[in-house]
Amino acid sequence: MTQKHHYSTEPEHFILSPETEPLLERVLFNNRSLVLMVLTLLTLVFAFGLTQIRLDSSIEKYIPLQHPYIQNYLVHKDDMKSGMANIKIAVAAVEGDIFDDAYLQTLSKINDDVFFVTGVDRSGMQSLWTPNTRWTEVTEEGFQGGPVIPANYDGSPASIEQVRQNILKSGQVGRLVANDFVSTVIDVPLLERDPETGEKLGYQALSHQLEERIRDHYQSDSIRIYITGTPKKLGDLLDGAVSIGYFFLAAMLMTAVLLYLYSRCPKGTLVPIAASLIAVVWQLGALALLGFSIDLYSVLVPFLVFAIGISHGVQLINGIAIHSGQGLDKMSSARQAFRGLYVPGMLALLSDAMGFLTLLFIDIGVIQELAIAASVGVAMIIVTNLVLVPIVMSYIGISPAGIAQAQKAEKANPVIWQWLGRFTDKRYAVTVLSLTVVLGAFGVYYSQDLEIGDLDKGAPELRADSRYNLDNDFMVASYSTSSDVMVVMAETPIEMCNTFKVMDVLDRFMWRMENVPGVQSALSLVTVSKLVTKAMNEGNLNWYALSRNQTILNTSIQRAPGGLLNADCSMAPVIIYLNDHKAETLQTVVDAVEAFKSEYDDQVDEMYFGMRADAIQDAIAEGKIDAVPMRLQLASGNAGIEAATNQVIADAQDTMLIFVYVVVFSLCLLTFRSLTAVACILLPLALTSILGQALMTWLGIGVKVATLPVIALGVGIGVDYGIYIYNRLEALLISGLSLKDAYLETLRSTGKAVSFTGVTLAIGVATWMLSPIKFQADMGILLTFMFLWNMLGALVLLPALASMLLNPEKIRERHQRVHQSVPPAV
Amino acid sequence: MRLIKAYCFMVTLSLVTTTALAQWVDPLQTPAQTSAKAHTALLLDITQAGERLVAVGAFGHILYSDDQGASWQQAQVPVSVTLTAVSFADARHGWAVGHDGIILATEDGGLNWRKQLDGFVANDAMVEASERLLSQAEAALASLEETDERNEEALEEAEIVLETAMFAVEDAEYDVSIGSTKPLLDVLFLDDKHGLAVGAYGMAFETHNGGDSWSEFTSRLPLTERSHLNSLTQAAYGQLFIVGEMGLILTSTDNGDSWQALESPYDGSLFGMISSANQLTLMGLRGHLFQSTDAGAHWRELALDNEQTLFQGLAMDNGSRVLVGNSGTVILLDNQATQIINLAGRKGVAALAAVEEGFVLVGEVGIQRINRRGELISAARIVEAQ
Repeated sequence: MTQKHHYSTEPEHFILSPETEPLLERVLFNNRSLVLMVLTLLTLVFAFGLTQIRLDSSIEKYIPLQHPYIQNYLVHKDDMKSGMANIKIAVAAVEGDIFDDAYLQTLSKINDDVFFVTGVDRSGMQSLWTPNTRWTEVTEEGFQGGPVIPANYDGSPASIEQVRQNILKSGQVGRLVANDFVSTVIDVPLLERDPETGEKLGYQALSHQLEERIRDHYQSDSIRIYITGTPKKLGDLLDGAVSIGYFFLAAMLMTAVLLYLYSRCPKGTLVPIAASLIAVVWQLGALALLGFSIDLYSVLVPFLVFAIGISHGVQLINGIAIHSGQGLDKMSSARQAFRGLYVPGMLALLSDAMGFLTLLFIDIGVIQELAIAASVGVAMIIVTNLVLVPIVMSYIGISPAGIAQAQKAEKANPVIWQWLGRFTDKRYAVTVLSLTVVLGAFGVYYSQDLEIGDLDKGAPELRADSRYNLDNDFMVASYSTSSDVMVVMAETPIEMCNTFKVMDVLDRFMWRMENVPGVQSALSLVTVSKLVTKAMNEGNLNWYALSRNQTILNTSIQRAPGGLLNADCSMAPVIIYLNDHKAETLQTVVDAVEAFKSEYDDQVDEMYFGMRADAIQDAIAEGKIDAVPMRLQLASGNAGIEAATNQVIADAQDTMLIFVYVVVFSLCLLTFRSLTAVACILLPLALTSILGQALMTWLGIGVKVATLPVIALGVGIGVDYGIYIYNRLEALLISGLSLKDAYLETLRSTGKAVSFTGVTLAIGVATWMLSPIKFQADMGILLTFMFLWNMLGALVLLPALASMLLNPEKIRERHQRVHQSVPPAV
Repeated sequence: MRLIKAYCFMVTLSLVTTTALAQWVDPLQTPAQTSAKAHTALLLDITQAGERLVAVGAFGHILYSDDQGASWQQAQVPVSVTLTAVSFADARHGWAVGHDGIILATEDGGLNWRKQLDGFVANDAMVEASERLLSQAEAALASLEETDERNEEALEEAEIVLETAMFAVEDAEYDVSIGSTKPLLDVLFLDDKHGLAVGAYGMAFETHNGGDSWSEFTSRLPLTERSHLNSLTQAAYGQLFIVGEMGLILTSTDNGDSWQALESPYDGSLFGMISSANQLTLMGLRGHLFQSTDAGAHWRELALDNEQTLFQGLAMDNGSRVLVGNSGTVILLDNQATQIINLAGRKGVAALAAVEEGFVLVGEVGIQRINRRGELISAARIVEAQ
């Protein structure tokens, strides 16, 4: 065989110069055993890396650390720790209410068991049975009080009645005791580190302990247990991430079955699957060796790598089978297939990788790591599938059954191909293109309502009907709390957070916020001060106000919970409870905070915030500043962090899409050197992107950390189909076939593989829809849609575009110009 | 472009650290803001101005209703301090008092209000008054010392009075130094010229010219300590009562010219008194109730199964009484039966007014409406003022 003429059947590709192509092929195929040895060695190294991989639950990776809101939050993170790492366990009586001895006894046992769960901050624990839950009362003699469950509690009706009275006096209704008196809460603060081992507390282990020792042990016909809190949520999420492994197995098995049905060759089935698995091992191993860990997003990357690997493996097996069917031996058919496919394959994989890398523009840890993981994985496929598959096949060859199947397919002329072939006819093409324009216009119009952020209630990471969210619904319904909390931090100089003017501004700020649509209520030091001032005046409502007397103010906040001011009284958070965490609600609240700030706008030098009280008084006396400086800083709480994330997403959304398309456009243009070719490949993708957004709007999936990457992934992966099909179509056109014949021929070879891949990939990602983790399910829905629609676009829209845009004569002429010496194709 | 914009936005956010307080305006100078939720925030008193209902409360909110409490509008108020009480002499002339010694007046039935007195002025008046008391005490002691036969007991008493007066001066001067701090707790106008206002730490002011000028009358009260004066009531035959801390009951039968202390049935604080034809009902801490049919000379405790403090009440024409207080407590008392109700949510109720359907209550959660059986009925709403 003359290497010189090998490219005669292929159009001009310029990623590698024509001269290097045979070189690469020669180097690989002339040293097959060496290549196999090197690849085996690498696989061993990466397999070792795989054993080092860790699951990471750090929360910082999920938030935009550079956003000013988050920066502000990080400054005060330690001051607000209480309340962040808390678990609430509600113990509900199924029949009757909590005023029942059996209930109270069970609660006592649960209380004791929770006490001994590893990681529980025992001193801070609170329930009806802990001594820090007290009632107080103003009597003629002054304050009176005691534990809610008295020391002499004996379970008699009288002492239960005593408990009832004490609860009413304790002010815990709506907090520790449900509004309907059917359940009570055990409030469990957590330590950051295990006190015995000094290791960071593992939320997954904690979550399991709570499930086993509390829920499973105590839940019965008469008692129900509900557990909520961020640590529990993280534990559940990590469990969900582990269950992803089963989906991976399921996807792999389904792929194997489909692949066998497609190729009828056991070798042709096992080799691409093995190669794709090796790609996954390389990807995970490489990441582990680079020091990355797996998180809830990057745990999905192996799926993608596996699916993409299969996609390319199938193209190669398909090529080898076709060439074998034409009578070539194992070695030659493998080399022919490699020769014909490695350039478009590499182009497609590079586009994928570059598309994924555009995700680096989004300043959120998990998305950036997803970008790196996916790019690394796709780069690995270039070696494991494009190189390994043909080399292995050159040894073992396609089985006779596989060759027969390929020959059958080559000759077959199924109705579906006939039907698809019509789209090269201009009359049909016009219809298809008009329909495309209508669909596109509809998509653009409809997706105007596309929202940013999470739209579901409860913990948006988990499904609405997940146990955690059901527990959370119970908490929200039974207690006077919202799970959506925005925290605004009021910074002052040291020891000044409780001065009258600061508190007065906070009071007005809270009332302003309470008037913002979407806000339920606000809570701060001011609330405590007013409540205590009222209590100190015998519960007289007339005294529910801030005092101007500093001594009274000081007294009133003496016993304020630690979460409402920091140790040196230089920061007091204002906690704003919201109806939901929809982007619109969050933005309205954020805007209202900014508006309030601007009304009190003043540029006081940063240095005053580090000063002590007396220095500030001096500065005021000297006229350097007019009053105690205070600034309101956004934002913390789940809603505050989400508001910041939404802003980052909204800003990155268009940028990222533009970058993905610019990258793919450049790579295609560089390879095919023809704008019409680029149009044929990219226009179907653009339609998919538009319709994808419309689908999100329709399904009520917002643009969020989970769905933003899908846009880049969808484009990156979808471009494969177009590249393979266009590449083959052009080659056949050059060989002299009419557009219709060339396209039919393309369908029989490449098209078959593309449609198979599209379905296989779609099935692979469709398994995600079963994930207990909501955002993984959302990603699954969108990716499935994009894979299928991209496939349709490549099979239907591409030929229609080609019939309008391509001129076979011109393509042939150009080919002649560049490769004058090369004889026309087949 | 978007990237650049986003970047600029972030830089701006991180550099412009806005600081509150430089433009801080005292709540006594800050007009009350209109709010679509004003009817759900703390309201502390409600009264009738002709056919109209007027309620006052937190953030300087004054609300009025011309349809029996179903819908409410917000009045123009020049301050945003917490208002504690309101009284109308007739359909047009009304006064509201509150924290920081504020006294507001309206001449158009509660639509627009202007300031008549605030705590800074009140503080100065209190300094003056306490200094006058001090000099009286000094004079009394001096005259006792000058008498030949030394009455040790009287001397000791006079010394205590002097000491108290000295503390009072110190307190008053301290108040001036830290700004106004003390709330007025009740106001009562006998006609459109003559009104009284009382408050914390024995603070008492009166006017005879519709509030054009206010003068203190603490010095005329027979107080041994400067107790909180919680409530003012006008009973049958125009008899006036002030009740307050530590069982304090003061009365005047000459329109407030002179006041006498009555013997109290109770040591704890008294928060309110209502009067029907010949019956006085006295409300104290933790649900203590007393009634008198001889103008306060003798009291009889009315024992009910209620431990919640009651603040206010209404005596109806048919002889029945309605009392309200902490923890959503509403007590319906008539000759046949006593009904004790705890409204859902158990939020404190500060005062009430009678309307055709039942009662309009004000308190911790703003306006609530109940029927004559004490059941909550449709919530009130707020509409924009014309």
